[in-house]
Amino acid sequence: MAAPMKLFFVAIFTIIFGLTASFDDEFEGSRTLTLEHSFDQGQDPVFTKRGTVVIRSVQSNKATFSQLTSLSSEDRKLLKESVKTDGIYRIRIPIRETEEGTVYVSTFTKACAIYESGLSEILVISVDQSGEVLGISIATRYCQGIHVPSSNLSDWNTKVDISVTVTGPAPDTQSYIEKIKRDEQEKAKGSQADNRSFFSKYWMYIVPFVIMMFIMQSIDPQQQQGGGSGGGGGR
Amino acid sequence: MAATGMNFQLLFYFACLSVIYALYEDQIGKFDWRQQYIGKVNRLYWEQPTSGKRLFVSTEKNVITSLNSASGKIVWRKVFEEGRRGEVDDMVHNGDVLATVHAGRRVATWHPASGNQHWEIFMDGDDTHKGSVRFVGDLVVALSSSKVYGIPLKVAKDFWEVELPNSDTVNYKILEVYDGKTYAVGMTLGSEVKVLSIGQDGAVLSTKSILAGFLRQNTECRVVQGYYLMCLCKMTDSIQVLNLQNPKGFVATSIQDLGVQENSESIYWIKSFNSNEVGEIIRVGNDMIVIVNVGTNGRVSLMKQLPKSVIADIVNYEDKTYIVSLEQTGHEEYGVSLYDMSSWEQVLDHNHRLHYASHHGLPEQISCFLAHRSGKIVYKIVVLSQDYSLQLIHKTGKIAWRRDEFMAYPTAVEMVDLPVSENQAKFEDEFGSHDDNVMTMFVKRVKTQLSQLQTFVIQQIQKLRGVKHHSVVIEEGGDDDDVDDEEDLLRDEFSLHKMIVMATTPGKIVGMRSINGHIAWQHFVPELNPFDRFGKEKVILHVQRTTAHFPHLPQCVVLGKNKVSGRAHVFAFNPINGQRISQMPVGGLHLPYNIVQSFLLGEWDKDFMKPLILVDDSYSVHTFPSTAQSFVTEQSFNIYMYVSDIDNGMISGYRIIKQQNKLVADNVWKVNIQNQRQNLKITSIVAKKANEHIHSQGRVLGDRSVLYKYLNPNLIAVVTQGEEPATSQQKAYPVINIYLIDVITGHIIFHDNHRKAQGPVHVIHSENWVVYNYYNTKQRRHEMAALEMYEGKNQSNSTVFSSFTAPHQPLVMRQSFIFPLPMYTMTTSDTEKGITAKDIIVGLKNGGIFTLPKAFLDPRRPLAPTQETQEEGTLPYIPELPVHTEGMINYNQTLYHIQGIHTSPTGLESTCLVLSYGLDLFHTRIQPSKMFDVLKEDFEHWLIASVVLSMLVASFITQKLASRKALNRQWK
Repeated sequence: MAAPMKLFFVAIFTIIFGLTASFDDEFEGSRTLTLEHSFDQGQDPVFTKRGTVVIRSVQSNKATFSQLTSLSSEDRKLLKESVKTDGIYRIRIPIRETEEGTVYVSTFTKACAIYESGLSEILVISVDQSGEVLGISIATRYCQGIHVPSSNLSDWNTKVDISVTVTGPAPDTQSYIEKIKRDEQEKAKGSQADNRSFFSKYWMYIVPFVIMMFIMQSIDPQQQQGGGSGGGGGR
Repeated sequence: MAATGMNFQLLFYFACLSVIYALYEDQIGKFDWRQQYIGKVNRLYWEQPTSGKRLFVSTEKNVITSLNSASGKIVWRKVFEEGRRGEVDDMVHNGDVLATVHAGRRVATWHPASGNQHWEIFMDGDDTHKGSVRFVGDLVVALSSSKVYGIPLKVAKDFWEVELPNSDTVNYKILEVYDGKTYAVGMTLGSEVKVLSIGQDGAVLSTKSILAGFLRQNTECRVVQGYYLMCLCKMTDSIQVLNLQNPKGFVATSIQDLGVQENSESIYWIKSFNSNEVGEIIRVGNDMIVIVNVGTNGRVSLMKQLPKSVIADIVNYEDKTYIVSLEQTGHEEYGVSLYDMSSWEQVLDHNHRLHYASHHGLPEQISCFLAHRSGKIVYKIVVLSQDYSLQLIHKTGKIAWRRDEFMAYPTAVEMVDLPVSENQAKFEDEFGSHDDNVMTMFVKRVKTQLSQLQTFVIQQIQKLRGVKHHSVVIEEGGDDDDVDDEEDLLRDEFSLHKMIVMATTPGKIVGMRSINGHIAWQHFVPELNPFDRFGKEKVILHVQRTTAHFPHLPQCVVLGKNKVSGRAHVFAFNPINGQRISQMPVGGLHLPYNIVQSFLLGEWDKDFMKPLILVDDSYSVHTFPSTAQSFVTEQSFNIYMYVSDIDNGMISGYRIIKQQNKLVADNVWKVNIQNQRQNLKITSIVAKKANEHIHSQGRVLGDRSVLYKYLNPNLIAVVTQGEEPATSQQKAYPVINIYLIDVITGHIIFHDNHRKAQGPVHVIHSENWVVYNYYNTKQRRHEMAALEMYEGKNQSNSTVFSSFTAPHQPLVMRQSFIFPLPMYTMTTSDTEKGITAKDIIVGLKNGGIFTLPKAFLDPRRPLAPTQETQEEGTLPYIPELPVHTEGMINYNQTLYHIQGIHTSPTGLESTCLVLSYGLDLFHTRIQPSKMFDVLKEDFEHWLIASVVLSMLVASFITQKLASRKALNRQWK
């Protein structure tokens, strides 16, 4: 009994320490990211600023997008052109400066998806626990080849989702040990209740059986007689 | 309640039992085979003093072993741990004892007959230093980076040690014994050589420093004729010699002074297994072998030039010295010559010719053993070839045995179905074409059936003849072990017999029969070097066209680095017979660019060929074969790929676009998985198998609803490892991160991290789940985590999956388990249609291969089982994964240094072929859900048939009787 007890405490301490360790350096402060986009199809696309994403809280998934300006008519034309050629639409976020230049995370989607959804989209920004931006992606809708009026193509309707690195699973020894203990306790309870004698436990089976036997024995000779007479009747 | 708990446990154990796959004793070796290898030999000794019946060998694969010189079989084998810690730096043999030094620090002696260890001691010093060991009198002397030890042979007690002067700056490389004195030679590049001579009692007799300004990194020195230090100086094309007994100064001899006629710009050592006191063999230029010796004045002089020789060795026998030499006499033919060194006369009485297959490359090293038999000198020669194979030539130039040691160096493995017979193929061809009219189809049918009849008749005739032929073979003694290999390479009923195609480090590409492990063909491409992939040697091997497309021949392609230039090198061949495809040079095709990424296109062209796409370092896209360029251009709108920067933690995605008639890769997404504080490095990237079949789109839950799987074929699992730096409150600890990334859009589906966990992380990625193994440094145990991805109760698109419209945040279920044993690697089983339950196959460090049903690694295992979970069939959660001995599919056949496990489906849905490779090869079949699609061997066909038949007869008779009775009743 002592060993499981010890294990149990060890497990509890592990959990407590694990929890404190996982909370101590999590990022909660707000952060502002610049979002750039491009309708270029070639190898070296030129990006222009589209707006800013403000991450208010990583843990509670609060972030908003505010556009710099609405989509200009030239951009709208570019978008329509790239829809015709089954082109792509790119976005990127600068995340840090190095000697070799700015490091970006970027993604793309089919231009038609942006066009047909009328500039509504969900941006998913993946962030690790210390607040570093890992990647970005766009979720939109299917391309069905529908026509969208230009009036629907001026303002961005963007929702921002923050996906934060979760703590990986760990073997759940604690609950298992608890479960085993519970089972053991129940077993112990069960055995305590059941320390009556064999007869007192099963009298309800034994008594009818004995009575039955008794009755059977008492009616047996009659039956034999009846059998004999029945046989006689047949002849 | 207690009782139900009990029941659950019982149920659980029964569940375990029911999925266990085990063999009966008489089935050992029936479905499996194991081949044991030793690696490339670097030291070799003949059993002393006279018998030569055994060879004692140490190898590059951390093995010391004894081979039977008559059969080449392993007598005993000691395998040390992988990496530097197990490396055998030096081994010597003196008749009674083998002495070795491992990893620069560990000296051990071994009993040569049994391989038992006498003793082992540790030396002081640095383990990156290559140690050395010798015998002197009844002592073993050993050199570490800072000391020389003298240890009595019998017991490792009362040994002496000598501190080496300036051992932190001087690299003591050489230890040699001559005339009872031990010489330790240390070198300082560009300046001097230090020579220490030590007596048998451990007293330093002298310490001398000699100027040696010629010493460079690539200067190779060795001790010749017992006490001369000879260095080959590449810069000045000279040979520098120092007398160790009386070190005064180096004496230089230029190569021109040797008087070799050939153009002699460079000189190389010829590696030798034995030392001798007469002369030394060196190679001048590319193909001239000369024997030189050092005179008393330290000058090197030419003793003999062997112009025709490919390789030579000096051997002492009965107070005489002989030179054995292999000389090329024809295509794939060598002659053996043996010269008496005193008279330079050929000793052998007639020409000894041997067949030496060109696929072994050039012989690299030989060792010869001489003996007298009925007045004549007979020899045994061991030849180590460029492809790492070891063969023994004896008596009249016959090859007694060969060890294919390249098999211990696999860099890529693939299993290919064997082709169906030509008749069968024609038959299928008939149904394959749709544009034939009735008449031509009829003619075709008649033709194929006629040809079938013809082959049947021929087969019968051959069978009759074959019986006679076979008896002749037996009379001859059947020294050819390839008799059973003459069987045709045709597919069997269930495709259980496959061709294992394996590429290896030395550049050998081999085709093996999966049924018995015999080599069907081999091809040597010496210029093909493997890539370095996460610290492992890997080449890229793809099946471009399978055997299913008769009359097109199947084709495989191997992509590696060129040995010299480091650029791409490809070799394409037919995986069934090993023949290279037309227009493919013998040594493979050297491509003029470096590769950053390559992959096989998922689509095949009109000739059923999947083109290999190669991306060079300027991000231009090339194809192999180059004729497929136009096809790739057509397909380019949906070709995407990714490139990872391992050290900077960036992964970039590309699409392929056309620019000025050229295909180029255009960067479309970037993911930054670097955290500069933790200095993360990508340590593995695992994608799903390209040809994986998934049978079920969802999982039926206890309440009869369906949980749909998230089956994204474009998903990769990326592992990064780093270290969280120390803070004021906490010590530094290692971290592991796992990312699941869609490589079309760069969307990170899921990412988690494990603190206080370290690698190596082994990942399996299949269907909708990822299983990975890591080491928990806090709990000090190995853990296995399982992630399963589900779309939820509704499926977004049941027909096609598109990364652009996929649900962006699937349900990721996760759970972790304790795995009680350390492992080398793990993989999952793979079956034809994916109906069979999956097994996790783990290569354990204890030498076992363990199969664990995937059901144990289900994140949905409930802690407290309910009616619903029971109905669904999930096992109750237990933190520790069970390791049953019945799950060891290699039973007692221990395997060392497992590098990888390859699984391949067969024609039987229940059965999966497993090949484990590493130092040893092991092949077997597994049935994760038992043999549900095959009748048992003891199935009573006759009983069933007779019962069915008698029932039929009975029903027939009773019917007759019944009708007669009915008729009779009518007449009444």
